[in-house]
Amino acid sequence: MKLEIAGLQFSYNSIPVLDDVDFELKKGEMLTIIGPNASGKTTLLKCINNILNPQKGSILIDEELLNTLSMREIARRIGHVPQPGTESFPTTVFDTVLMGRKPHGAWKPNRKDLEKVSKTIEKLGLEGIAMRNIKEISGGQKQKALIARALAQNPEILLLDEPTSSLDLKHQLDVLDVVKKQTRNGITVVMTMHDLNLAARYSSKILMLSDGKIYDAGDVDILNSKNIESVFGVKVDIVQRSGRPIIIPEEAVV
Amino acid sequence: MVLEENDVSEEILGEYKEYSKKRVFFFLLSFILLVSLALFSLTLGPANISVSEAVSTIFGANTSNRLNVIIWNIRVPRVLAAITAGAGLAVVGAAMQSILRNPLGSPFTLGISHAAAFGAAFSIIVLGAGTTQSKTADAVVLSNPYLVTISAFVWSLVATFVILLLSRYKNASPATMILTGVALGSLFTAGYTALQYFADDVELASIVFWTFGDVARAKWIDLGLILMAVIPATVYFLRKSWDYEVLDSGDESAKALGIDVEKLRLFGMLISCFVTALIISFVGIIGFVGLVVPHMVRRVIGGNERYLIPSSCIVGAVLLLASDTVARTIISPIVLPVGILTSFLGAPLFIYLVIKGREYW
Repeated sequence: MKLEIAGLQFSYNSIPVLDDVDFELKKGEMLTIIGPNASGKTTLLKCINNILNPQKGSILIDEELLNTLSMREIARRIGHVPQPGTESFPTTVFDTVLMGRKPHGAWKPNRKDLEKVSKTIEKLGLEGIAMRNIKEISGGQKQKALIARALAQNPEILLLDEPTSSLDLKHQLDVLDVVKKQTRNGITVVMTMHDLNLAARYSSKILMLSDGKIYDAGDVDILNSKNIESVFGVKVDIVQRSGRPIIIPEEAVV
Repeated sequence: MVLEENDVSEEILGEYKEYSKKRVFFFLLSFILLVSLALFSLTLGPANISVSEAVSTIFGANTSNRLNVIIWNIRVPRVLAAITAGAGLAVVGAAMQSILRNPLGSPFTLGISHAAAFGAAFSIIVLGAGTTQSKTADAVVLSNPYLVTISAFVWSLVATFVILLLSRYKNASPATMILTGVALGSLFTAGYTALQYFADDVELASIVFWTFGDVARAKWIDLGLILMAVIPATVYFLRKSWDYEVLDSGDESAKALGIDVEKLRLFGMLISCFVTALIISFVGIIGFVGLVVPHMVRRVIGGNERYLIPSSCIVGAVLLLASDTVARTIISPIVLPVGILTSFLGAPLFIYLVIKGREYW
């Protein structure tokens, strides 16, 4: 699944949030969008998922224009993992993952849907909590359940909005390992993240956003002290360890 | 013992099926309860009728004219009206709670019932739809019930649109929506009071009588009309129950899962409003059924709309039928309008649920 974005522009009430964003992603790549708060990361993610409609520019999935596809068609190709905590009524983990079959299903789930969901739950190691209430499990488990839901969609692209933001160290690695594994099945991953070291460790590509514009894009080596200082306003020291940069923040630039 | 890969997912599937069976079992149990309650209810009343007499009359095996008249003209319409109104209000309540993503959502709390009441009063006073034919409440006849229905419907549409607009364009929080509903409710109550002030005593009697929700009012033809709304609405909400379940996980999640959220909300609200207006305009205001029933069901089988909506339908019917049965026997020979009883019953029940069922608000 190839994802191409060209000249993307989006504004909220005529305040520009994204301006002239271009990038291209090949099948099985893992892109992390980084940037300070309000730089447009989440907005970009929502545009890719057609939750928000950009005013200008185009998003192509395998050379098909995103906005010519129906919501159901998009949902069959793109899995979205939102930040947890938006559900209003109690439901089980199984039923939550089952929602991922909605874009493929009729008005109610069939046997195949249930089987696919059981397998996905097993794959993510959630079998012990499959019947638990989604509101009563830990943040890490919940994040995994939402990833399982997105995988149940059988997507070609997986979008994740700050998947590690509320997780402890172990679960951060746990969740990102699960995501990374999907790229080996040919799923293209786009995620937003605040933790630069995690981004450096897991991503195959980095997109640096600053004020809605792409400041730099490329391999993990764009995470250099010059870029980080001008985008985040923080002086950092960077050491190379086993072939990837480790970013050590020093002080905020006034 | 180490389980093979397939065994684990089979086990998860088995566990889920077991869980689903429980939810189906609850539905069936409620259904059996409803049928027995309906039969029992047919036997109650000033005339002594046994269950076997009631059953044989229903199946046409009884030739006693007296029994036929009592069963078919008085008790069956009343029982059916309680079942339909209860089922309709509960389904609509469950749907509204999902549509508004709010446990307090119901036609009653959102001011839609008040709007319908205002609409009814408006049609009686301004449009002259109501007259009383004698002093006893049972003989109050709305000379043009369809005008009342249409007026109640139109005014409840007004309330619906205000709430929909607010949630659509102002990105209102659930709390804002409820507060708007409360404000709308008091606005329509004010209008309704003002209309009463200008009413003559006949009109006033019609209005006051109208606001006592009473299922005995529905005649066969009214029942037919209510059923024509409740059945398609229930079918619609059943067909869309999985969509509503996905909607419960959040607007953005639902959109990402291919649900046209705006359309689902708009249609759901319109249908809920139509059903509410129709039920209310025929039987008067019956509070708390739509609010309380979905919560009762959720506490037993969880929040999945695919099971919640059908079960709410049956439990709503059970609750209203039971209330009506109590209402007409508790201080016999006086028959209480069931609306009074549901409010007495619903308020403490709701407070109990608020205290006990805090997990989702």
